[in-house]
Amino acid sequence: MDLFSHLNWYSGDFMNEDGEPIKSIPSGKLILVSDTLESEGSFLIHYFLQSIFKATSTNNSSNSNSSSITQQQQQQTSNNVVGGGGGACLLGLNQSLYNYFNVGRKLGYNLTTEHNKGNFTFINGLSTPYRWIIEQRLQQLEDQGIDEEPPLDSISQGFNPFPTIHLIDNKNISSSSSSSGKNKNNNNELKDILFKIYNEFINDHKKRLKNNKTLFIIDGLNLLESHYSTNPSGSNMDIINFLQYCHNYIKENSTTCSMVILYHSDCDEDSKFFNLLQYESDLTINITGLKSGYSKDIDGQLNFIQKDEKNNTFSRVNPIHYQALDNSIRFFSMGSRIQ
Amino acid sequence: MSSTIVTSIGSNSFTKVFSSSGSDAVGGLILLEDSLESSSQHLLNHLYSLWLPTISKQHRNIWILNFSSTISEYKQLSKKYNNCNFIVIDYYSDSFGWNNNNNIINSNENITENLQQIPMIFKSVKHDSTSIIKDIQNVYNCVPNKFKENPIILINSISTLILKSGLSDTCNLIRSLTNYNFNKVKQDKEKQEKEKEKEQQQEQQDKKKKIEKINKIETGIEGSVSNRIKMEKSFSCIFAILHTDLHEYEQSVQKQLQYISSVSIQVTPLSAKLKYSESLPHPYESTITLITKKRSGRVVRNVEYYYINNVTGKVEFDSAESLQSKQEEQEPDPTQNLSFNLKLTEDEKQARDSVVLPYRHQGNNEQTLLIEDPDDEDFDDEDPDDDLDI
Repeated sequence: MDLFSHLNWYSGDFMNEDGEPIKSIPSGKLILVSDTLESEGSFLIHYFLQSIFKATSTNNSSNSNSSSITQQQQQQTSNNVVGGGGGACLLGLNQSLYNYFNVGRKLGYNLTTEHNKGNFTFINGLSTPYRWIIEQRLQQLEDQGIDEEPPLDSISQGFNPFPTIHLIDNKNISSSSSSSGKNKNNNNELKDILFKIYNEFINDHKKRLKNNKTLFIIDGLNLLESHYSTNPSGSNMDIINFLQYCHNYIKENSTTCSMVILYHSDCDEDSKFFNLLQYESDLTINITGLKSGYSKDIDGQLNFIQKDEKNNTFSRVNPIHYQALDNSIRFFSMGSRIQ
Repeated sequence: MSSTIVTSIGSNSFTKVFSSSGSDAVGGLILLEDSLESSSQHLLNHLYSLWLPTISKQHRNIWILNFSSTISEYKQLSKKYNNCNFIVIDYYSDSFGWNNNNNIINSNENITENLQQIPMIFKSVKHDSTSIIKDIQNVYNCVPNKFKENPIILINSISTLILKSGLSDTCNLIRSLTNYNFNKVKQDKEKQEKEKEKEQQQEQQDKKKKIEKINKIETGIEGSVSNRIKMEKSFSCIFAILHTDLHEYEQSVQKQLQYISSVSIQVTPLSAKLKYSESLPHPYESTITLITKKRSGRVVRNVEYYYINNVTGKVEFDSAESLQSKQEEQEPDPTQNLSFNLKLTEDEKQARDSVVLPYRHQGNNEQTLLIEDPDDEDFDDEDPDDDLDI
């Protein structure tokens, strides 16, 4: 059973050879995943990445196997199959690239290869801790009068197997203290950071060929609230404005992109921002533990609140249980776990 | 203004609030409060089905101030009702101005583009009250006349506006919109220009502070205004959707808006008794509480339940009183369906009624019961030690 199969969202999507809809992340939706300290939700992020990269690789392999099928069938399968794959653009605010890379290795995909294929883009929302080493080194070498710098060892460079986009430019922070210019301070204002994220998402989406779906993933929306904001109503409203832009963009390109946001719902004293997010999103997935306590076979419960497109009404769908295994996540309806 | 709250049957139900017209028509702010658990979307869809189709008897012009939905939702809405036309002023899509389309309303080319769209969408960036009023005036100046007849302003949702601009700014906006008069704005502007000319002619050296009187806002709740000279109001009413779970920690928001509203409609989840009851006549979705403030000053409170008719797909209402009376009727008779006879004949009933119960002191038809405490009953005059023979 898939994460979305009981929501009946596949009915319009592409079909594979068996006539069954291809299971993938639905497009044109803003999905909010909320978790708490007791029931962590980052496994879903890895699950989404895994399902995207798995779909892309099966597409590639089925394309190569189609030589025995007739021309017409080949055309058909290649048309249908292209809709199943796609790429991901991940804004990492919870973990570093190193973490995603290692989890990916365990789950069976290599982020560097995916990046080289054009399927994966990483935006580093956390600061790069080793940048100052490079700058210090440059400073040292300049003082010594050496122009060419020998390459730094891999630890000092930080983990960077492929080029990533940096959200926060540490260079500006260090140099703004020496040259007091107001302009440079503004680059780290929340509005500008959100603008940068928005542009990166759009660029990434446009980069991908038509019919290839892009999934924007924001891992950890909470961290954005802590940036400096000049909005009198608070940094939360800036984030809501940003999400409105994203939502608009997704609706305009509803066949080719989707967005998943991970949010920790237990970090604020009041649930105002969380409720705002729920009103904004098309699907809310709440990850909770089991009401009856801990269990060996079941790791937790996923509750869904779905926005019906025709009526705009919110409805609760039956929750499902999940179990996180070594290489995959098992989803099953409540009570159906046998053993 | 008297403040007695009276419950009355049927006269202020949801349907009546929106179907009355003429002098009876509800004006001012109509507040629709809901939450995630009990959404008002069904009711809103119901109102759309009444107001939007051009063939509907209750067709109204709707001007929507959009703060919460994507434009595609409004396009779908328009398609649903045969490409009906309404006006949307969109503050959702471009709240930062990133799309480089600041105030399309001012540019002439884009206006004609907007007018050909269905629905007509005007995009705007700033959402403080003065900008919104300016936008509305600009829209008024360029839309065809049929959209200017008694339009209803729908603010979806006012919660977002409050969170972005603050409660006092939003209340200012509502007051201005309630008493807004397009023609008066024109007249005032002409007056202003004349005054300017005069002043420029007379006092060129002194700089005076000019008092701007764009729209004189009349304070007071809707009910008290009618006693004075009635100002012609351009908008028939302002319909605002408030999400109460976005203001849980600021109680003043909900209360303040309720105070200035003329009708407050609260959608709340069903009480447990109704939710789990097995004998409901219809599958109710939520409870609606309507608090209507009449022009006379009376405040009327009405409770209703709504459900969605499976056959027609329409929303229908049942009042709380009808539910209570139905529940009373439905009490089952315990003496039926038994294998033995528990009923009494007429003679037996009479005999039963005429039995004199013991310990009942009739006297003046008193029906006091004497309760004898068994503990102090044994009142023996004899000495209990009498039979001792010492």
